Amino acid sequence: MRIEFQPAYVLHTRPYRDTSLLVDLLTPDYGRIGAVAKGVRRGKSQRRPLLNPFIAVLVSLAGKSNLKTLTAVEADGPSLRLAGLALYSGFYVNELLVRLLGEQDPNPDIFDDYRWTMQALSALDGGTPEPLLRQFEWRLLDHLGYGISFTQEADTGDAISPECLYRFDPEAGFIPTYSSRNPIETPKLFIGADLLACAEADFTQPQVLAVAKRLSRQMLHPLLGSKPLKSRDLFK
Amino acid sequence: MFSPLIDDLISALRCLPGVGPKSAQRMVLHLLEHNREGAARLARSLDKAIEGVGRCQRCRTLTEQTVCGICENPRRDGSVLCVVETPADVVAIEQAGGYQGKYFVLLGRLSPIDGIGPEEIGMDHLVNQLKTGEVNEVILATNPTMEGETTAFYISERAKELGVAVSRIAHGVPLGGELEFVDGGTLAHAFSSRKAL
Ligand SMILES: [Zn+2]
Repeated sequence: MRIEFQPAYVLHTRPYRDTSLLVDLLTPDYGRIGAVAKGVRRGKSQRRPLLNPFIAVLVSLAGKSNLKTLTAVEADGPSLRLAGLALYSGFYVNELLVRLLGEQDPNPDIFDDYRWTMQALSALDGGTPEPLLRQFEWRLLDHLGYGISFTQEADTGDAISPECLYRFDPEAGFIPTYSSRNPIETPKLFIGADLLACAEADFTQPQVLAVAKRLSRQMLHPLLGSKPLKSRDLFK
Repeated sequence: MFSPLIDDLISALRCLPGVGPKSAQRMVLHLLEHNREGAARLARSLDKAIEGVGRCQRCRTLTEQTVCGICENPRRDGSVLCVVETPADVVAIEQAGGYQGKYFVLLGRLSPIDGIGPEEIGMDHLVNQLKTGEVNEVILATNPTMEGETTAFYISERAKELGVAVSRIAHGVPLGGELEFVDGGTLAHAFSSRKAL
């Protein structure tokens, strides 16, 4: 199989043999795909700087086995720079994809979301990356078939009402409960208004971001299992 | 193809970087045929080094001493600490000459997907050293890879919290290079870290 000038981002690299690099790529038409970049760790390789995370590139790959050989790589557009918290966020997103995506399972929507998120992260300029991360997580879960409606109740499909309290079930969605009206007494519950704000990606109210984070963790937990994401350590 | 002892030695040598089956075989035959004395010496040195060499208690570089020669040297400036990824980086900076401060060797760089977080690169150890107040400036000399940049940012945040000045070594257009052949990322970085003349 020959793959020519496929848009890609490097998710991860590992040294391979003496002078080569194993590259884990995200592409629209082939999903996550692994390739060997031969000889790029030698002194003056022109390719090595492009084989870093968060850089939009075009790659050409060849080979019959699952592990391809990188035959060409060039920059795809001007280089964006992630810095500070955006850099942590980029590694977080990459770790999420490496953990959740199988190999060679094409999904152009995930690639588009990823590209959009990287561009937004590079333009962050000191702001909080959290709204971007939450939206990426939710869309990713959607694409993978684990999406949850923030606007409709589980089972009944009734509209989420702003005043109502909900319990979250990662398999079904939001189930109305009538236990307590005081959110301090019921830290595990969600208020409808916050869920609707999440659905609109409206994070202007500070508590909505905290709710969104709690929600993401609960949604991701069944998929990540007992091994937490290592990149979360960076944000501490 | 050879007797078991020889086969064993050939496969053992292949743990060296860049040594494939052919070159391992050549090395083994050379040692056994022409240089048994050298081979014996190699065996003894390897044994001793594996037994004796550990990590410096202060900077974490490889040494058989509790504290390495650089850390112990009273003529080196303990108020400046250069943070590098590997012992090989220490050697490179020492050979370039001119640096008079001390080092801290991370033995890696932050790379969450590889399971390497702040704990694995010895951040506790580094923070404790900065807390003693001996260090006035930290120079970050991690690699210009994304992982190296992340590591530099992480350490700079911790150092600033402790009131220690932080600088990052400059990365950009290689000396003797031509702009036309420099990649976009390097060039963009060289522009964003330009300095007034
Ligand atoms: Zn030392």
